[in-house]
Amino acid sequence: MLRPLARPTGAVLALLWLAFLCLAAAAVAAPARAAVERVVSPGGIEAWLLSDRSLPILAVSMSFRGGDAQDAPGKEGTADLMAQVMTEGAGELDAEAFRARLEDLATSLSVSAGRDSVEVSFRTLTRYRGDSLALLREALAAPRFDADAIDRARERQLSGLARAQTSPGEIARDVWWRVAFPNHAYGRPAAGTAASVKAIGADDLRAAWRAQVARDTLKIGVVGDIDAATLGPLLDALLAGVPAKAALRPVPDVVAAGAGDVVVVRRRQSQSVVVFGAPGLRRQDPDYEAAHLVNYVLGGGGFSARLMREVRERGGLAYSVSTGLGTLESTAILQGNVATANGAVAQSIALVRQELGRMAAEGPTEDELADAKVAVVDSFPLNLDSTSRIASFLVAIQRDGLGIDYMEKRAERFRRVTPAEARRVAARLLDPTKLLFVVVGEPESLNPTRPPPDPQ
Amino acid sequence: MRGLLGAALVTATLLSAPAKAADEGRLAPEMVRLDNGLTLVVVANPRMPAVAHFVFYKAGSIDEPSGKSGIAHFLEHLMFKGTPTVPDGAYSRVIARNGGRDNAFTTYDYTGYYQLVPAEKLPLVMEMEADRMANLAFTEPQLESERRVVLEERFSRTDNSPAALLREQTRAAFFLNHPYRLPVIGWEHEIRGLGYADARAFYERWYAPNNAIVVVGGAVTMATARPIAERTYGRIAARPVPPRKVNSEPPRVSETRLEMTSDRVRQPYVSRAYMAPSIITGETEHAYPLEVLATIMGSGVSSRLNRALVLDHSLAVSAGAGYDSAQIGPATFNVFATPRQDVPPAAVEAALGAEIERVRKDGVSEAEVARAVRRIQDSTIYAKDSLSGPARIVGSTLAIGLPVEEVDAWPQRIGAVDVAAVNAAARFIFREENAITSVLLPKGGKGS
Repeated sequence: MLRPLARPTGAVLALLWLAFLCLAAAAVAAPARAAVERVVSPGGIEAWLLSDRSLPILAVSMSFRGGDAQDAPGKEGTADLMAQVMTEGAGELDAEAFRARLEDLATSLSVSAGRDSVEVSFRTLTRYRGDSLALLREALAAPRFDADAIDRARERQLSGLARAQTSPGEIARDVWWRVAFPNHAYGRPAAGTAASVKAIGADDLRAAWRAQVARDTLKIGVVGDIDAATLGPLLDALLAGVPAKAALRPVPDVVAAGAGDVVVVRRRQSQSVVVFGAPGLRRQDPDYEAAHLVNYVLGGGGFSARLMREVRERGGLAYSVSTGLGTLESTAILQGNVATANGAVAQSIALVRQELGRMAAEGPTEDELADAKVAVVDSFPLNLDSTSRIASFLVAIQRDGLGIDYMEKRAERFRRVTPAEARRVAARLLDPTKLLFVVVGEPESLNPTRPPPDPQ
Repeated sequence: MRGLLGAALVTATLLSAPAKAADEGRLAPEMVRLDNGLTLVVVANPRMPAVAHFVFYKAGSIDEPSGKSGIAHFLEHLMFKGTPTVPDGAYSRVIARNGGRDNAFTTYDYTGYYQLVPAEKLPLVMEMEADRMANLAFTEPQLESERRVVLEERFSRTDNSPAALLREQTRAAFFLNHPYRLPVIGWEHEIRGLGYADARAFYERWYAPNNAIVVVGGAVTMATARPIAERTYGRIAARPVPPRKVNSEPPRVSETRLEMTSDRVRQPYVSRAYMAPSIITGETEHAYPLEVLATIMGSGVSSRLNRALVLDHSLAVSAGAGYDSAQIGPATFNVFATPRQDVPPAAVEAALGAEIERVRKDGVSEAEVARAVRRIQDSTIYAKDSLSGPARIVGSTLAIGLPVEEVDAWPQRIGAVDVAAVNAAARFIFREENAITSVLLPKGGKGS
């Protein structure tokens, strides 16, 4: 394989730590510790910068508030389409000219909508920096929303929805969110439905862009071949055409519902896919670090996790099983998944409940907690091996309000969690009776507690 | 509005770009061979205080005995079942406890194991990897439990996805003789029949130090890595490893077509593959030109297929082409498209055929070749922006039998491709009898 390979996926940026990170010029024998700088442009725009001159690469990550939760009822999918079309023609360039120019400049630029945010990811080579940043500027401030580009994006979205309808994992996740968040934006289909996507017009996209792409909610991370003095003025030029204030609809706080429920979506397949979850605990919660360690021991630690041991290694029931904590603007969840033979679904669900209950009652052992700390603290820099990953991490810690000194403090925040604290937080976080299970497949000897919602 | 920000910045001219790209993207691997025949490569990249440690065995699913499909991958799972000094399941836990992470992969041509760890843990992972190279100990009950895990993996990856099932059936129909026709994960019924002796035999035949390539990337030098490798891997005795079977394809006499209709499909998909030389097998002079051709035809907005099917005629939501020359056996040149919901897949299939025919008859232009060459060369710089990427590139290059120099020669090889070579390669592979077309259709949908 002589070409660059796709990077492994699955890094959870909220788990990262930067204090360990030592980027340095390749010529320097002993890598020096790099520091994140707060850069404020002459015009008052803030970005966090990690300067690394060892490769001629520059990455910029941006995050605006907004995203799927802002979609109007009946127009679900608006934020997704808006994000896609922002890079399909801007300023004087139509879609083909714009994207061809990006390709000629070896630059990747993507805009995507999350549930609560619009995320921009940009990467270029130093020698194309000026021209490629100009394209980013145009995408942010002057997207064209041409009719043909919208038509193509809409068709792509419809195609993606059709595919998702046949993916057991997608179906399970979709049903879980719908059942857990009824009557809330999080319970509506994030990518839309065929009907809602067809109802979206150019005006909707333009309005969403005007409302969401604004400087007051913007967080910026910059990594790579640039210094603070150069970056400052560039930021002003980059965001000159972006309005100062966003106009967002409020999204009320909500707690995941469906405690104790088992929903089965019957579908002919040799293996069932199970998604489960319960209310979680926010990134900003003082117990977050303890909860993260508890989750690592329970299901977040890959082959080190209890669930993997019980379900895969001891039982041979599944290829993988895992749990994770997720924080959104308006809720927090603990979510997990397992894919297992139809005949083993009931047993796998029982094991998940049993292990969750045992952890809630006893907490992790001292050894498990110690191992989890080492793994969570020491393996952290492995997630930060590329300019783009570090840039989006710098955005995530700003978004989570963790402070620019978070990188120095992260290790200590995890290390100081005591076994007693871990037990207390395990009891607070975990309750097997709170879990909502959604099963897609033909599970045997499993009684659903309620019917699945109507297909959309 | 372009260039507003660029005024004060340096932008190199396009002319000097390729040479610069070639230089900046250099991985500069250093290679030695230990006394027992083990190949050790270091790809220094001291951007962060961590290393990526890989071992590649020159054995993959193409080396499986007939009737034993999946044994290479099954053994990959069993390699985590422990040795007399590392108990079952402890392998990944020890790595995690030392601040690292690990995994493994099996391909047609080779099998790889890797750990990403803080740089000072290199001795630990070399010790553990060398230990299971020599002392793997798994039992029948462990194998039975792991068989269920492998079957679940197969159900997740393949059986639960109609598109993946069709891909599997397409390869089986396309390769007439080469073991590339068999799925790496194995046929379900053969996975069910694999036994202890099969796994043990595969391990003993292929997992020898003289059949292994160890690659360490990251904050490491040869001066550090070599002594550690010598006192770990170096202790394992070399033993005879049989030559790998050389498989080849007979001439194809007829175009092949596969259509799969399923009630589990909502979005149709059309693809066509052409049998093609790889960098190792067949008319290898076409390999680099085919890499360039794949970019011209199917990578990016202005590629032939995107322009024709997506932009100009609104037939497809996406269209592309793919070719990977880095195979031991024959490669495939693929074109594919996802039809729009309102367009019959047959119209998309016809349009793919028409674009192929246009390239075959009229060729591509010099401007297209120049642009594609520069894009491929530019992209090589990004390869270094990763901890594991460079080691994996080097290891897989060596594992298919190429010399290590080929890694950094890639930009020049691509740069040497001209329009005549691309057009000759296109004429060589785009022959009717050389193709298989496969179409995925929803039940009750519009076919061809």
